Amino acid sequence: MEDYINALVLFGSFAFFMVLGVPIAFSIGLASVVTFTTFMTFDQSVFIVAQQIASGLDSFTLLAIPFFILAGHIMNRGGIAMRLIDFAKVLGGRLPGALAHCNVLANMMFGSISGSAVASAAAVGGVMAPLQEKEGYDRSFSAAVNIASCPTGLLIPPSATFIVYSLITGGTSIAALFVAGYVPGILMGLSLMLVAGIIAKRRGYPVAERSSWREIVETGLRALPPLGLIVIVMGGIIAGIFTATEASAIAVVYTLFLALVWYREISIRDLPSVLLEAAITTSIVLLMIGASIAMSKAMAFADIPYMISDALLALSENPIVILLIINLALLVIGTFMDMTPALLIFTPIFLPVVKDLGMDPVHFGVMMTFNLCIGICTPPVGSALFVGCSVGKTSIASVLKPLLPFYGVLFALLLAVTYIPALSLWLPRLLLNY
Amino acid sequence: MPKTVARPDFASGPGPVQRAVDAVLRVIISVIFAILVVCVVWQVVSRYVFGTPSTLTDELARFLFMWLALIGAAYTLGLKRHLAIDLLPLSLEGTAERNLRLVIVGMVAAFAGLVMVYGGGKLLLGVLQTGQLSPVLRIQMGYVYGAIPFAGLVMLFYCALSVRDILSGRDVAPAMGD
Repeated sequence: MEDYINALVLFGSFAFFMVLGVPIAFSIGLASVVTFTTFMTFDQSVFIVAQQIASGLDSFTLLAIPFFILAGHIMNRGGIAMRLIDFAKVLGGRLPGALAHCNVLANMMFGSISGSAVASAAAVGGVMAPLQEKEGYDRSFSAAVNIASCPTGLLIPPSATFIVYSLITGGTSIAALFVAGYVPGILMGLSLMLVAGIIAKRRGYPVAERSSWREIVETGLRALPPLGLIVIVMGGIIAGIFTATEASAIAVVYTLFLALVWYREISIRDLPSVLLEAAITTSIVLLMIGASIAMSKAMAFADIPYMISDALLALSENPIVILLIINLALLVIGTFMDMTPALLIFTPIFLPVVKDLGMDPVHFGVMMTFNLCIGICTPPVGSALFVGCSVGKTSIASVLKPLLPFYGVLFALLLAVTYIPALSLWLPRLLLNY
Repeated sequence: MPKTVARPDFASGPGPVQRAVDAVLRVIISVIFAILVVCVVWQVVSRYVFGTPSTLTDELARFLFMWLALIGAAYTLGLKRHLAIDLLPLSLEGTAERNLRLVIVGMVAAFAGLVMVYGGGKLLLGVLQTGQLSPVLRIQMGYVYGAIPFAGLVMLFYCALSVRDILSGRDVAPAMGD
């Protein structure tokens, strides 16, 4: 009984701070302090939270996060998006609704490189929306395609999201997580293209001119330097040549070379402002991570993971049902919470449960990330939804109906990712002997 | 880096004190980040060229990272760019909204003051007292943890500014984060 009170204190105070509008990182930290005070003195509580933030941030693995973010920011400054979009156009050209396919493909490539769904939605959507409008596409349809497909880059590696997951789970292999993201991420893009194609065909959206081989080769070559980043980073990680942190540093050097020397799109004088922007994005994530480390300690003190596990097992002993409940819970959480905080707070709660069911932590990480990708596209709070609507010059209300078929296919694919472990684990087993 | 110019329209921008603090933090953050990049790149190079990874840059990188994360978080607070679910503040108007914003700033200040300055300060003093030195650089480990109370103080400064702005009606709603 006492356990339930502790859980109530933790979740109750957390929900209270969040609903008031206290920034998420601070809500997490304050709720942790409140929970600790039920076990120890106030002095000890604030001390242990400060100590947990310190130990949470003292990690060489975490260094990969600012570096991947910095590499993404350097890439965003240049005309990378344009080169990838040109290449995506010739790839998706002959399908009905060619520009919608181009949007999805460009998001898959750009999202993978920039590692940010929001940056991808802004960069790709910003270019594609006016083009699609010119060809007679419905504005809200174009925005819906862009919104639903921008999170593909969070699954297709390299992805800072998986680094966060690895950290909070106490060191799940980053290489395995990265490689495991490929199949679900690519399937996500392809299934969205399928739905977009069916709708476009019905509405009679135009097919693009057939591209000549020369065009394909030329645009492909132009897209090669930015795509080379993925080859170097992922090749190095898969081959075991370097760690994720080392790969992230190499990504910074490579993108700096591209931007400063190869394309000459930014100058040395622009660097301080790029560094600062990347530092801001980074610190938003890192403060949340530090506070979440404290909260997961508080949860362990309060025996919350065991309690949730008991409660779930009391509902059903059937793994299929339990995974369904976890997915539904995460979908609800995702509607109002951004991906990183949701991942940080709910991984320590659900992972012990699914581990008891014999689920692989890599598989669970992919499932959870996939689930929360849907969450950032849904109202009332969804960063991809907000940015997609703003660059697509449409409103949230009008984009919801065209989004429904995409939500449908994403949900179906989520069930497939949940119940077919091979979708996540086949590739890492093949390439890494995971 | 954008130059700060004196604005005749006083009410529309940060005051001179905030501009100065902002500028100092911007320099610190950019310099730390730049050194951090050099450190980790050197770490990779040394591992491949000399066969042994440099333990010095490894340790330095971890220290700088802690400071970057926390000073960055304090600076981000000044920009009001920490992610929040602001459905409630946005749905209120007038005095109710003003009071809620004061409560939110109060909560942030409570965390910064109690956990970061007080709790983090105790951590700092405790570690300094043990005299624990970092293995390679031989510097006091306490200084690493000093980032927490320091960032807490900067956060309290920004909270005080926010309170002043809210009370004088100059508060701008926090921008949407990314």
